[in-house]
Amino acid sequence: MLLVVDSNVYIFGFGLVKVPACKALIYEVIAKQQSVTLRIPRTIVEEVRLHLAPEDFSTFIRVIGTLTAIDEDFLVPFDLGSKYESRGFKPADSFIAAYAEWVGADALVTENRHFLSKNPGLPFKVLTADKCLKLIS
Amino acid sequence: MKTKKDAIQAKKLWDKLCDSVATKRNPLEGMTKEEAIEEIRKVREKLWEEKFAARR
Repeated sequence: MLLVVDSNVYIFGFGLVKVPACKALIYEVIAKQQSVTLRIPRTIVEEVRLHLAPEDFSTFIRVIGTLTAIDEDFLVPFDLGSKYESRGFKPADSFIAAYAEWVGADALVTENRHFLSKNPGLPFKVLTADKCLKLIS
Repeated sequence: MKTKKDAIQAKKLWDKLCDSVATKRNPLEGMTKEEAIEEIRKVREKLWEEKFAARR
């Protein structure tokens, strides 16, 4: 299963706001590396960086480095992002949706209700950490 | 290739990150989950605007 995990799940996962399902999901992704593939774009890495001290960000990068490689944003076709903007997504959210489609993600995992409410007809599932956990556990 | 050793190392690092974050100033302190999501979205929009401006 190929997952794109949104920045809010990482941020809640390391406890800036305690959401147990987010923390549990990160552990599950780590434990199930053989069956769960993680992809992450530069934008999400930068969003996480803005919420961490430099030393902690370095640790975050080391964790990500054991799980996957970081994809540069410019690789994602511009037209794909435009498609999501025309569906009512904000520009940055459009990029995340376009990225999820571009990598062929099975699911985008996010706690962002704006994604969750625009779910119908997307080429990937939009799951909360809790729902994703139930799916991969 | 991902190995069991990688998973053990990643878990240790994530534990270390959680412990370290707990000792630092929390930019989302006192926020509810929904408030924090909105704050993270604002950061996303600002970051995106900066990236877009840099490409013009």
